[in-house]
Amino acid sequence: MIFNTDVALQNAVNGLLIGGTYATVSLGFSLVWGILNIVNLAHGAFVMLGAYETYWLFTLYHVDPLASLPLTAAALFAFAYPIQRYVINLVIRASFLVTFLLTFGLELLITNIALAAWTADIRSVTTVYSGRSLLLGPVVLPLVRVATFAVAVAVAILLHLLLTRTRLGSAIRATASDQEAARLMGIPIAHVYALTFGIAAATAAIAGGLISLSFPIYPAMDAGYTFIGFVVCALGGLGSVPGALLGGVILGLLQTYTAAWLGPNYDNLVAFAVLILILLLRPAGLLGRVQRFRG
Amino acid sequence: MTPRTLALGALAAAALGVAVAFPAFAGGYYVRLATGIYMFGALASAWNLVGGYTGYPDFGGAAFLGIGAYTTGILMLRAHLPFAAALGAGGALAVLAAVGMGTLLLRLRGHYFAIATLGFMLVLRQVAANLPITGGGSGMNLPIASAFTPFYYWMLGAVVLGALGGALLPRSRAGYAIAAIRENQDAAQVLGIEPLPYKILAYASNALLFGAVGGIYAYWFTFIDPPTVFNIDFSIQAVVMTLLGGPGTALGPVAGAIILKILDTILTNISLFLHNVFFGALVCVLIIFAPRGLAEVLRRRGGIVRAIRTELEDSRV
Amino acid sequence: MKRTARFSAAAAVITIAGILVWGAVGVSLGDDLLKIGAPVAATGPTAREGVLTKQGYDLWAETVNTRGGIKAGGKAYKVQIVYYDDQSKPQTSAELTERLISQDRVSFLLGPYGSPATFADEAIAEKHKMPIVITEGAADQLFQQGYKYNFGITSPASDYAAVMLKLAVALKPKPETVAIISADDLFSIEVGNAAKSWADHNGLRVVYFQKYPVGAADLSAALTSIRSQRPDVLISSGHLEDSLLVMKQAQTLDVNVKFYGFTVGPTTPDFVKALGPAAEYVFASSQWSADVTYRDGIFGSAKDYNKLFQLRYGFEPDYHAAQATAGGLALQLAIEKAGTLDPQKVRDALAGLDVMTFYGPIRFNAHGLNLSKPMVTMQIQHGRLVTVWPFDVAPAKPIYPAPAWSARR
Repeated sequence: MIFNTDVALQNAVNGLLIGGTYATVSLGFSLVWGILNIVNLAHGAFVMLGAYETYWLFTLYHVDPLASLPLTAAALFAFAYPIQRYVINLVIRASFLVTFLLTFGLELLITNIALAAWTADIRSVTTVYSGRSLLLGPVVLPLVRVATFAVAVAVAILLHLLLTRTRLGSAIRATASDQEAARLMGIPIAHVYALTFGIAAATAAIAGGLISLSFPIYPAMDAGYTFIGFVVCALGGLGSVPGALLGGVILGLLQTYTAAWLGPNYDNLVAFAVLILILLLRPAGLLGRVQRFRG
Repeated sequence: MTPRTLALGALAAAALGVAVAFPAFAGGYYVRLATGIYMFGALASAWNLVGGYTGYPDFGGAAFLGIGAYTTGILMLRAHLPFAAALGAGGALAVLAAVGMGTLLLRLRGHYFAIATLGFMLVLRQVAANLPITGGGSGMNLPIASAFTPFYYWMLGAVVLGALGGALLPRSRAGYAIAAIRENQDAAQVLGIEPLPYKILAYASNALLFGAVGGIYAYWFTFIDPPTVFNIDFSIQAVVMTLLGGPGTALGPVAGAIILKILDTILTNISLFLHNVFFGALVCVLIIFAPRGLAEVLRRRGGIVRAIRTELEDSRV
Repeated sequence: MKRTARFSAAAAVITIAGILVWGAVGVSLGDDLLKIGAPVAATGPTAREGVLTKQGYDLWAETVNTRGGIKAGGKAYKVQIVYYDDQSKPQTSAELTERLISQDRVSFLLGPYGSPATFADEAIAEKHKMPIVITEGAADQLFQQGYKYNFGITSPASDYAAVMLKLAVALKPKPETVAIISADDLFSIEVGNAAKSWADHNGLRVVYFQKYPVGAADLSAALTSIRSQRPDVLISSGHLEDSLLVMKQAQTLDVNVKFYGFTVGPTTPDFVKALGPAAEYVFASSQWSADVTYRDGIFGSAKDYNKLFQLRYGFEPDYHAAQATAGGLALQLAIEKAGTLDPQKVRDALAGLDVMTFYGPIRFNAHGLNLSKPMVTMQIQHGRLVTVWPFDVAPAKPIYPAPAWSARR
């Protein structure tokens, strides 16, 4: 393959920008896994719900997709909070596989109800600006992707501030590091868990809304995004917000360059080989701390 | 030999007798369904060895299923080997791969082990999709089998092997080491148990079963391609079935496979479009009320309701 | 002991209940009913196409029943199609086919959606010597197994790309270079390879030829490489989601090609709805369109079928639905020609069938492949699909070259 600087540059941009999407998808997944020790197999389903909500708000009420993001986030927070509080909480101290299976059942439920309600029709949100790009010399910058990346960074910063500068954040981190001590200190554990889960779902919804602008959406789309959450978390470190950003960008760049140099049919091969390597060398991911495996 | 063991043994022998005679009196559809149940029973038992007994949740078991499937396929199609020989080679290769990858992957724990095994499966998937010898993404057609009934017996053999493994492993010397590793690996190490060989034993046994099932599956369905065999669905089903039936028991995974497959079939009959919704709700309900599996619920004293209530008390925050 | 007994009893009860349910469902419903089995995807990645297939089958069954049913051996049989959801999984499809044959006792089979599922099901049909009419599987491999009981009414995979390229080279200014991408599955690969082969033999230079994983979420790297090669034609062979992704990303990455051609996607209503103005000028190969001039005695002309479908379902049919209906029709004509429900005689009638339908001519070669029906090329113009090739049936002229993205605003 002849090395072409323009193409390489464009692919750097491509990889970086899709890394932003991957990061936004994974933030919530990482949070829930790192702090609640729950592998939420329904995370991609939340992304899907966020995408559809944005789609319906746009199609039925002409609400701009970027403007409706806070609404979508709030709606999914409200949806996820009771799920954690009254359903997942019932089994949270059982082994990690139990919560895994519960979220698996939830994923089946959510995805198939969505399928029954909205059919398998493939949809996408097409606004006036969704196809626009900025041409900077040899590089094409798709506007929506740039916006997604900016939102990813913004959400990551907000989340980081929440976790480190607010009382709620301290409560969440305290609960994560020592549940018994936190309970003794009077922290309402069930409520804190549910809040964390809700926040994670809200970020998933934001990711979904942004995804609906660039990608086709359909009820079965969730599996791919849950999976991306897995990989990004392992790369970047569980429960680490900057880790999710880093992991997302690394995955995006690895995939893009592999697709460019070896062919699109190899895109995941290199990424996963690197993943295994990183796990062997730094088991907690690049920015994570070694988690005690419970259960 | 307690009376209980004798009774259980007699029951098992009787069940086996019925299973062996089954194709003689049951219709083609039921035989096929039973074969599917045995297949997942074998996979669930296999997962139980490494996930239930040893505490290492493997989500990439399909890597070995794929190795078994493709090895069998390639040897039958291109080297014209008979099925049994090709299957044997497939199983052997799966074990070799498990020993090789296991030395690396089994150093990880918990979640990280889970993701790494998944990554391994996906790497193999893309490798298979890009090699000419596997037919690449188009898949591969194995030679057509002349009759179906042999597959029933092959899968029956697999599930019996799996159940035997699940019964013998905890009672063997390796079994004590493995139990120690599951409960507290660091303490076990302090006590002088070198964990890696035992973990590899469990992992390779799991791989042997997945690989054997893969080979049988390939010949049965005739057509295989990378996404079908290197598919996380197999592992997820195995995990669900084991957890529902009871991890750490010999027959729990098989019972889980029977119940889940039958439920799934009944649900599919009830509603063409909504069967997965019911299935998802069912999984949620079952997991909430029996998080340690039905075997645990049945084992507790005081009847089912009391058992469920105790489970809930133990599990909620 | 008690616990084990309880457990076994519970398992036994569940098993027996299950068997009873199966038995109940499998009870046959009477003499003058012709049961036909169809394991079609209702859920999973090909659910969308599966629904279209089912709609096609249903329209045929309803039509034939309103006309009094299928006439054979002096009796009239009402058609009942027994459906099961194969969840877009070939292994499930095979199990369901087995169930339809041995449990539901269907007399004939209509094919599932997709080449992999079709491949799995036709082996079962062959084993039980039951004729299966294949309506949604076009991979050449399906017909290279030496089977005697499968009959595919669609044009083969190799035609999909050829039909678009034939149009492309007839346009002015004549295109010189082509980029080909295909999804990594049985059907799409065959189409991609056939496209390359046709291009190589007809003076088109292939500047990019790659496969991408099924369900890939991002194709920017591929499209960036394609952009740097500046091809005149882009042929993309995949499924519906892929075609949407390619167009969306071609737009945002400013990939300007004169001729966009897709083998699957643009003919479903979702494509135009989802892309809006970005869908303009896209070409698609199609097994059938409402503009072809074929007709038959039951559905009338292609336009009549179009109207009938639209009346029944509220939107215009694409070729997936039309070929499903045509499959049912072919089976019906074969049964009526054989004059009996005997599977061997119907099989022979199918093998010797030579009819004209609203879908096109149907005649099977020795492998069960229908080589007598040409495909058409359509284009999206002003948000609507119109047939643009072959020129003698096309009501519209192709618009070429497609304007650059920057010029479209």
